[in-house]
Amino acid sequence: MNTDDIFSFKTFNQNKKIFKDNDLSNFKNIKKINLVYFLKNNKVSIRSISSIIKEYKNYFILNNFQIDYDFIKYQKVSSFPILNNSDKDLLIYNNIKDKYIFEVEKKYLFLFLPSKYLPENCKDNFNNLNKKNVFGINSLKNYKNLYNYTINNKYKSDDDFFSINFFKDSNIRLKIDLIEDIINYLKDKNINFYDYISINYYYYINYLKDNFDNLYFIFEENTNGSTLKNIGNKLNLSRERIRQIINKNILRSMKFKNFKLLILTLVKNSEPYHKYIIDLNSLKDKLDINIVKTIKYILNIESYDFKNNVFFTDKFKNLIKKVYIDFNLFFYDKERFINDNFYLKEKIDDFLINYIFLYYDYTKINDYFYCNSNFTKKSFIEYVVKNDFKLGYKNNKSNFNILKNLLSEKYFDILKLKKTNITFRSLSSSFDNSKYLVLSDRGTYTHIDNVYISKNLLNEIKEYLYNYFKINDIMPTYKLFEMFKEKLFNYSNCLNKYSLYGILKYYFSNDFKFKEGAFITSSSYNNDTILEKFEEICYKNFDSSFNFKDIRKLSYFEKYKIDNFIERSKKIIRYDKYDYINIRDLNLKNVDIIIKKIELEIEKNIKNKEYELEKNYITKELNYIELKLVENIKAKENLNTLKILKEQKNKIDKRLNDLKNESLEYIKGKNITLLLLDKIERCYEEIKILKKEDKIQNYSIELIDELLENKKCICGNPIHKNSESYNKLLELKNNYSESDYKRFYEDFYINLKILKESKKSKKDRISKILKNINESKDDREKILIQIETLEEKLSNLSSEKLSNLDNSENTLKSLKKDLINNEAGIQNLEKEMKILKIKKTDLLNEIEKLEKEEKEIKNLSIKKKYLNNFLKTINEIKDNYIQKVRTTLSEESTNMTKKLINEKDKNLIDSIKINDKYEISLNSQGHDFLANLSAGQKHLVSLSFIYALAKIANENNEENTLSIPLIMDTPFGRLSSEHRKSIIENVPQFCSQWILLVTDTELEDKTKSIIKNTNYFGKYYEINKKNEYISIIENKTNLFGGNYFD
Amino acid sequence: LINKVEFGKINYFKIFISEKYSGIYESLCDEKLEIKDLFYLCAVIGFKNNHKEKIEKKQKEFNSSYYSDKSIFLSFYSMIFDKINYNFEEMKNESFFNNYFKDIEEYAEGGMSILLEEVIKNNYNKNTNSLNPRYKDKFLFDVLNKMYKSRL
Repeated sequence: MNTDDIFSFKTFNQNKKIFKDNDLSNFKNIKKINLVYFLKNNKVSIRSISSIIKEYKNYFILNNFQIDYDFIKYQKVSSFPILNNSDKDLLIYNNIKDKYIFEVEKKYLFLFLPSKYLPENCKDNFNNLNKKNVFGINSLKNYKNLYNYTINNKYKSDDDFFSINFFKDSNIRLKIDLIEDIINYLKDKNINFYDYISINYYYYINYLKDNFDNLYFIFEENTNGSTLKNIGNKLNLSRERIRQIINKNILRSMKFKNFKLLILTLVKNSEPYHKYIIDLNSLKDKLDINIVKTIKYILNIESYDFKNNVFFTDKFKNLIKKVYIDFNLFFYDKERFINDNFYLKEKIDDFLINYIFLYYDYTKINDYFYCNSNFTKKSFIEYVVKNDFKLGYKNNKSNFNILKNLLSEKYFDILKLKKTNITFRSLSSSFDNSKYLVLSDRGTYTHIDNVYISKNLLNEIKEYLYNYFKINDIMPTYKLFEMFKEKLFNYSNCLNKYSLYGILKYYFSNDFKFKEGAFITSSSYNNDTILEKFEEICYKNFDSSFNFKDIRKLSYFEKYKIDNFIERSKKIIRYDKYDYINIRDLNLKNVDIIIKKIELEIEKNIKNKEYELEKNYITKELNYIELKLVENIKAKENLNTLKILKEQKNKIDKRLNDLKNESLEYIKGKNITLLLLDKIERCYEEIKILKKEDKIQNYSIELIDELLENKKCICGNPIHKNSESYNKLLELKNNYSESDYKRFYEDFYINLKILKESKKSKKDRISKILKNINESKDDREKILIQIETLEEKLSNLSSEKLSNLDNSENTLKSLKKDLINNEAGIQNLEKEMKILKIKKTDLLNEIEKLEKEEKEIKNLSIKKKYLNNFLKTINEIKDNYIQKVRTTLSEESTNMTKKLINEKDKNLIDSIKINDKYEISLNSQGHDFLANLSAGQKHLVSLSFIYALAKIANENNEENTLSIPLIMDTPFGRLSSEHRKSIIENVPQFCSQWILLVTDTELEDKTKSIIKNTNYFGKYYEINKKNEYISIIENKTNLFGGNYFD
Repeated sequence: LINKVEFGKINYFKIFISEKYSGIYESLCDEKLEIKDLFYLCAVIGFKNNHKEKIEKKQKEFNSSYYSDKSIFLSFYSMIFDKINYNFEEMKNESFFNNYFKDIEEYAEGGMSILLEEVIKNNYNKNTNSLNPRYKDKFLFDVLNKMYKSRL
């Protein structure tokens, strides 16, 4: 898939209709498009696209966005493929990332799709594909049927295709079951499922675990009635996405709501525990069949009283009992459990909730219930300890502490445990697969890691063993057990000899060799030690020049030895190094990652330098600012002087203003008249002359009026009416108009006087004013010059800058603080860096170690291969050898039978064959002939087989005869005389000793004579039974040799 | 008649300023330095320097009643008497002031021309009829200085 393909989508027009109709040709050529890019550029919703895509029947489309479990990573989902009828074997898309697809894209196709996208539209298209390797998972409801269909080849139309929907009406357990079913199905077809699907599958499971929070949140919010948009905003998801999630019922399928409801009832109603009944009346409204089902499912309860809304069953009883039994570390005894109401109310609720969660692999965190399959009992205890969960009844503290210790230490005193009434059973179950040593009460030593024994007891046993082995070689375990029985029983009721064996094996494997049931010192030898040596030889030599003849010598015809050896070597191989390598590889990878992290951190620390650079920069800046500050101070001084000068200027201005006002007055009015003083004087003089000419009267009219009114003279004499003086006065009064100049004269006189008087003072004043004006003007000018100069200076530093300088003073302080902090930070970072460097070196060392180990492991794996080969060859040798033996056996036996049988019948027998079960069959002209033989002939054949066996067993014997005696009981009963003769003649030739047990009828005269003639005859005994209890054996060799036969 | 002539007893009359100088009057005068003050100053200067200018076109006018100070009228009298060789009989003429105050107005015009030439100088633009605004304060000192140096 080229990146060009992705971008070629640009050619699609923004209008989806055009995309639909016109650009189909382009669409065909594209295998993959970028979903996000497409959505953005075309402004099309996901739904609409899906609907469009669906219409293209020629293409099988796997729209990843339909898959819910990727909803969180939806933003990052890179692409979805549009597949045409490609040549590739596998067409898979499982929504995740490209690399996964490519990984999967080898052979097989798994489609995790909603059902509606698969069947009708796509089935036909599947025919175009190489559908043998396509697996679709579509509908969970029918998956088992489908599965059966496929197995029984009933699902003919789609051959190997079956579909299961992952997201409808399913829960995790079922899914896991489903996956396992699929795996099994694939196994039958010799396909390793995990090679192709494991990543995705685990991804899915992990996804559910990781995102359960969000899923649950969405579900809760939705049920509470908040809008899709609001939910989406909280989770940074689009509204559409939320809708999809909710519509898929992914959350409902988890049945968590139901579960929560159940738990709520359990919490609210504590009394029902007492009766072993759950009352669900409080949930009457909410309760529907689904919830009942879930509760059933969770509690394994089958019966449910719908009328009363009550569960009550024996199974639930048992459940509670189980709670009690398994966790009697919390519950001291049954009576207390049942009777103590206080106890129940206070303690059991919380406990039960937790326990039930635990039991069903759920846990409670932050008031939400999470699914967690990894949540073991051990982690439960951890959880309890972490949360200060109050355990047990009233004296729960001691238990609690012990549990704490249990988790913190590897060993703990078992006697303490006894005091707390915690049984080993509960603990052992709690610590299964854990690193803690807990006694296994089951008596098996399969969980050797879980066996616990106190140190003191161990030492005691150890001492005893040492003392014992000084005397004897072998120490049976039952003896040991009996010896320590009482002591061991003090610790636990559950200890038996097997668990003791486990303990011993665990603790003494270095000091003692042991076999099941017995302990062996290293000095003891038995048959097994030979094999051990043999193993050593093998181990030393098998990789280069191992001589297989040696094996043959060693194990010649001792099949059990070979088998033994094979078993032992299998044991060696069982220690599978391949797994180890894988684990180690992973470790190495981890180490690499850690190292990279550390290097990154060190790189970060290299930023120290940057810090230092920053430091330098800061110091420079500081200097600069300080310099500026000095300037600032100068400027400030200037400013102050400027202020002073301005004040002075203002003062002068004021003074000038005053002077101005004053001088204004000197320009106005009277003060100007001073200029005309000479003219006024002249006027006065002229008027004076007029006065001298009496043109101006010396009296005033007021005086005349006064005199007339008072009728008194100035001298005091009264003036009478109509008197001369009176008349004169009247005359004067009447003539007064003619004397107008008088007032004029007076005015002149007065004003002149005033002017003359003020002239000098005013003159002085004006001169002073002028002086002052000039002085103050000069001063003003001087000050103005100063101000100008200062202002010029200050103009360089504008007011803004000045204010900035004030700020910079503050920044200076902060910078200094920063510097100090920075230095401290650098120091810290240096420390960290040192630590990290040390860590790095450690890790590098570890890597070296691991690499070494890896090398060793590789060597071992090579050895393993060799050993495997070796085993194969040895098996082959064994088989060959057996085959060879069989053939020789058949050859020998045929030869022998031919010798023994009548000459007439010789042609009847071609060969005697021996099959795997060592059954004899007789071949004659290609037919099984054994059934046609007479009893005597069969007898002969069996004799010859025995002969052959004996001969092969005696192969190494030089005389080529049987070294063991051959005993025959009534051999001649069914034989004809000819056969008898041939047997009697032939058998002694390969037999060192032949004992014949014969009846009197068998031993006829003929046979007697034949025996005599063979010259192999030794001794003859007769056994005669006298009565029930006595039989007499007589040596009648003489009789037989001589007279008797005669 | 003299009584009638006496200020306060006769009817007030109008004093005129020419169109030529009414602009500078406006620009120099304010609340502190009123037009009557400046007129008086100009009249004195013109009289002292014996410089008259005829009013070609009257523009500004103000009432004689603005002069409340007797001494100012005395100085006006002295100026007029000086002109008529102290012939006091003229005063008995009813049109005494109407006849002779024109001379004082002409003196004022002349005084203003002197001020413009010797004191204000370039600070006044005749064409635009505008005074340098900074000069206004200085004007007082200059006038005072001039007066002090020349006469006082």
